[in-house]
Amino acid sequence: MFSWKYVVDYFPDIFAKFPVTLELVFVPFIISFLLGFAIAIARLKKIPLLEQVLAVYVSYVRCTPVITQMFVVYFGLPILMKQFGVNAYDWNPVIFVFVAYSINISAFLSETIRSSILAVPAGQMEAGYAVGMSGFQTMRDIIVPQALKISLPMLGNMFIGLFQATALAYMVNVIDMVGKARNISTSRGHLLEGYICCAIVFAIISLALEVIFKYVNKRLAFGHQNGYQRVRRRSES
Amino acid sequence: MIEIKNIKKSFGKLSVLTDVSLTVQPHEVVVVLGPSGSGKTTMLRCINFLERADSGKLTVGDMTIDFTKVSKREIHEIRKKVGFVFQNYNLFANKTALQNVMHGLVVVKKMPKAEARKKAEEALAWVKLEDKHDYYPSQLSGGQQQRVGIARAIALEPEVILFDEPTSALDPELIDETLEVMKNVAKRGITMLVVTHELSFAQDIADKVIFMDGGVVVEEGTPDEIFNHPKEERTKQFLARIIATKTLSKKIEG
Ligand SMILES: Nc1ncnc2c1ncn2[C@@H]1O[C@H](COP(=O)(O)OP(=O)(O)OP(=O)(O)O)[C@@H](O)[C@H]1O
Ligand SMILES: [Mg+2]
Repeated sequence: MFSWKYVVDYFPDIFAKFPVTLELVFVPFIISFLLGFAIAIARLKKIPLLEQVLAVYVSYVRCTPVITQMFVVYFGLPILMKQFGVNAYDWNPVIFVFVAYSINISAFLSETIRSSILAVPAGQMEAGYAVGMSGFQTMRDIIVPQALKISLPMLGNMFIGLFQATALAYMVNVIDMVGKARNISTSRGHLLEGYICCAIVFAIISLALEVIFKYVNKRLAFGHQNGYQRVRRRSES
Repeated sequence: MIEIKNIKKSFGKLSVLTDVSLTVQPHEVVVVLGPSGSGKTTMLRCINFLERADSGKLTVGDMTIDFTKVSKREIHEIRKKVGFVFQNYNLFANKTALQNVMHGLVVVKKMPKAEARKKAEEALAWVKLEDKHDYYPSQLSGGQQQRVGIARAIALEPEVILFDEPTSALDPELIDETLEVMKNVAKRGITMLVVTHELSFAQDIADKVIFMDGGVVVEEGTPDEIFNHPKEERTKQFLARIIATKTLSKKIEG
């Protein structure tokens, strides 16, 4: 019999693992952001050979399920590391999730960032040169800020997607909220309640993230929407 | 002073600038006329290295370079001496009007922020936008955007400012305010090389008019010489056509 009482009972134990979930979100996302950015720039610069290698990397990631990628890393990385004389068999399983998700998200992120950079009108790059700025300075001050603004809704979606994808980490023996729920359920015999408890936490946080991203997206508009109102009000007063 | 000598440029097999030379003396305003596709934009873009000329020489102020062997450093130096006003403004969309004008001063000229701000405010006052400092490009009309573009160029005090059809993307009622601002810029003694179809601007302001066609300079002279006594048949035909279109559009407007 399903009982809300167990949901409430399990909550403290399950929520105690929330920091693990946070770690599984933030570490790969930050690595992916830096890596994805670098991949995007490298592909836009069309560096020979590297360009082809990265294209293969991106399409491999886009064409395989994340769960297979995770298992490939989980079982493959220790074998690879052994070639370098490193014993990865007793590493904390969290590390494999970091690696697998970083690979996955960086590929998607690189595509988003690349298309966002291309979406900024090319004339502004020329205007930067005309003003006397270097290509790097124009990218840094003019193009990239606009590209980030353009990609923000997509970045938000990916962040939320990653947050939810952390629920797969228990499959490689990471004890996050889901892993904990599974352990509790099997030891105490109430299978559903633990997962319901997780579902509630995921739903509330996903919704909160969505609201936050929407707000940030609006605030960052360069003069559109409410930005326009702000300026108008200031000049009227 | 700015001088280009025997500049040549092809895109693949298409020769766009066959052999163009021209000189703009300090404080002079030179207007370039010519039919569509005659290579006017390409010439301006070559001067600023937005396009790479195949050969020829370029002098800006005290610096002379050869297009066939120019270094990155020289390109950068030339760009600092040359301002550019684009047909479609190309303002930095993530910067306000004031920031658009200030940014080059801070980043390129390494001016302290307070000084750069003062300079940018002056430049915006020149183009009569003192009340629009905090507006983003998306909040400005085309004419206002173009005036910010002009302010951005003059604030950097280049040796010469290149204008590529600065009013041709504007609605008719916004053209005059922009031309007015350009006349003020000219009156301040700033050296200008202007591509435009606005004959009245050329007539009133230009020291010299150059007529280009098919990648060569067909004829050059004072506005009076070019408009009232053109020597070349191609010049006459071009002027007749422009005047005819102008009269026609005036009739349509009312
Ligand atoms: N990047 C490019 N690649 C190939 N061809 C080009 C390029 N830019 C310009 N051209 C060609 O060069 C020729 C001259 O173009 P340009 O833009 O310089 O003419 P223009 O005199 O400025 O014309 P308009 O009055 O229409 O602005 C045109 O035939 C154009 O198609
Ligand atoms: Mg043109």
